[in-house]
Amino acid sequence: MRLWAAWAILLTLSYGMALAEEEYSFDLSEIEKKPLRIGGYVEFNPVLFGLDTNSALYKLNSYDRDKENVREEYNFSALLDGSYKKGTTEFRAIVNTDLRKSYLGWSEETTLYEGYMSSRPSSTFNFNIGKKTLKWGTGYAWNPVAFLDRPKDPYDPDLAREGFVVVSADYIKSFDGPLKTFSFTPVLMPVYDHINDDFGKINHLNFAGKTYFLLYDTDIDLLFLTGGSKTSRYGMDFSRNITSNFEIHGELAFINDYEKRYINSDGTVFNNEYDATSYLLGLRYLTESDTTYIFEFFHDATGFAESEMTDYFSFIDQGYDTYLASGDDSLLTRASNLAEGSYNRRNPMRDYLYLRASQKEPFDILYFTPSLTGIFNVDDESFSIGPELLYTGIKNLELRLRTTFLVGDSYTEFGEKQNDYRAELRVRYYF
Amino acid sequence: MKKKLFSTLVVLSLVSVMAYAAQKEEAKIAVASNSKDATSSISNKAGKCPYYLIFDGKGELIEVISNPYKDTQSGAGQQTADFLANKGVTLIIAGNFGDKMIGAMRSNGTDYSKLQGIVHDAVKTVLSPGDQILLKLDRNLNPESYESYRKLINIEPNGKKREYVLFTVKKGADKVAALFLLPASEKGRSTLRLDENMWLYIPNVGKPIRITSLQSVVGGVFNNSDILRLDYAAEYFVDQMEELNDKYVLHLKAKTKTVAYDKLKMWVDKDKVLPTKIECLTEASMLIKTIYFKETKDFGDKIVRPSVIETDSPLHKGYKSVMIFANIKKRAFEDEVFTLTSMPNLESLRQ
Repeated sequence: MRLWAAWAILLTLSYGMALAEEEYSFDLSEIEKKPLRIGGYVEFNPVLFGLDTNSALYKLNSYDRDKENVREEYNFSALLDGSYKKGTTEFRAIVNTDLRKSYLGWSEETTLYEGYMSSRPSSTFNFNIGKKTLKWGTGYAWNPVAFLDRPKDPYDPDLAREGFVVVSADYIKSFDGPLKTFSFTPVLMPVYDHINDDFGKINHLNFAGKTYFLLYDTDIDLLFLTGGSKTSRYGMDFSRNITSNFEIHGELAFINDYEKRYINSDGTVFNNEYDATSYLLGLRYLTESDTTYIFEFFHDATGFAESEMTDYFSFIDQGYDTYLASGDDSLLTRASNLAEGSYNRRNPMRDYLYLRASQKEPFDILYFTPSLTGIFNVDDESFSIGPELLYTGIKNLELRLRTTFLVGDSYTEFGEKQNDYRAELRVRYYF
Repeated sequence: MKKKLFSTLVVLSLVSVMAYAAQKEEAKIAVASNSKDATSSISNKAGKCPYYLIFDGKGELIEVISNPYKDTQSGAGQQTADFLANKGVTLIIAGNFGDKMIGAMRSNGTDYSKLQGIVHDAVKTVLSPGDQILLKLDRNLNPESYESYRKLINIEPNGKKREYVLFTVKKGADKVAALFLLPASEKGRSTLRLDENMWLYIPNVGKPIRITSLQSVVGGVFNNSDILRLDYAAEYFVDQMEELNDKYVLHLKAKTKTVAYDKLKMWVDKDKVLPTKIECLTEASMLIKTIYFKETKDFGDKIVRPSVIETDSPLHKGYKSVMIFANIKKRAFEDEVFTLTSMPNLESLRQ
């Protein structure tokens, strides 16, 4: 009997030890370095739009369609990120494919987000040529100093974005003392027919640069862009941890001779040229209970004043009435053409507040992060608010459920957007 | 018989204490200083610092030397090392040392220590037996500059696990960077720590964002300061030391308010001078987490250290996080590797 007990104990112990060993196994072959690396994700993103059929932008976009109160959209995306390294040279490509089933039918779009060659002969110098995103600025929702980037989606600032074709280099130097790091990034950006032609005026070779300092534990960037495709602009940004759970950041951009086109309620188009100074101030704060707050104030001097937006919305209303009365859509077409790159920007006005509060793993539910995001238009007091649930408990799978409600009076930004609400699920699998 | 044994032990103890005292008495410490005063800050330039303050083994300031090589264009570090060795200096303290000066000190048999802060605090630190143990423990845990591969496992109360694999590089007292290799959803992310500054870089998202030591990029019980750990001696000083059988118990206090834990209670194996357990405490001595060091392994190149670190916390009951080291290798890096601009390129350091 004692022998049996001894065997049982021994077996249990060996099983326990085997388990323990298995628990802590780490085989380096799992992460063997290979010259060719491929990764990315596939995504399914169904969206339900609750439409505001009385809003100006619904009228502008759907005047010739039967009225609908809701619309469904199904998005399938795949992002492929591949790189090949040989010696000190690396080739990298990020390709994104979107397949969409919307009220307009099926559509497909494949975009090369990035595709460049990078050479790093030393840790102090590297050189890049090709299509690349530069990601300038310290702001979370907006980046007024990101002179060479496509604008972020403030509702999804973490989304991958398409870059521009550039030639760039980084010179990096570290020091002891208050100045810990210095780096300089010069950038050449050609804007010609078929190369970056959506950036600005074509037939210009633009020159931009960023100088970075880590000075007294503060990140500081000085940035500029000149060359003719856009008017000259320069700026600075900073970021600093005040305490171990509190960070502040900011951006300041000066844009020379900014040209704004706007319309009055009669449809007369005006051009106004002025020097614009935009800025952003923000903070990130982590509480003891693991709630993270991100707060930002953004003044966009290139944006429209409240009266200018009111004029635009009233012009659309006028165009819509004309269309209903006579079938003539020329005014609406004019409003639509004018919207391109100005009135149809995600946040076309001047002063915004952004607040995001996210709670890590509440009620001990691991890998679960609920959050609430609000964007408040200070000028017209309209706003959007969006609760979000994120779950990452399954390996390489990310599930996100989000709803955004848009609230505002007539002739306000969020009151005149074409949706009252938007609900979406995003299922993303990384490989 | 018992009396004889007792007398022998007393004599032996006295001899060892006297030998330790004599060793300390003979010590001559040179500290690179920005001014002639012992309350001055330690200079970061060991070779070209304006002054060297010389202390005896009791911590008394015995001489102030204006560095004759402070304006030398090249070879200042080497010449300064030889100059101090000729003056009988046994230990040099500075904020940073050049590679050539380190080579010269090694061939002269001079010890060196990278410390920052006030000159007389540094002298107190190196003369305190507890701090000396801490400095040795840091070097036993890892070389000053190294690369390593680690797996982090977060274990939930129901046994469910989440694993991450990181490639980590470290240089000197205040520079660490880590690159996520697995799982696919985290691949390419990197974190950087320069002293108390920390950043997280997420590919395709944007530029590196600042993060804080109390957050955790991987969830679980390890926070960012555990994952990007600096040398213990860089962040803590020994407030009190006890001896318990085969262990030292070091009571450590944070040097600044920005350090993640206010206090540490560290059990150290006397023979191996390696930690076996650490309790991380708040200012009011409330336990935040306990870290256990297990399975000592020979990683080669004289690196013998625990290969498994486990942690649990009364704040996360039932949860456990484990860190497994598969490889630790001495490796020299340029300072520029540890910069924001280089964060997207950490993968290129893997060999």
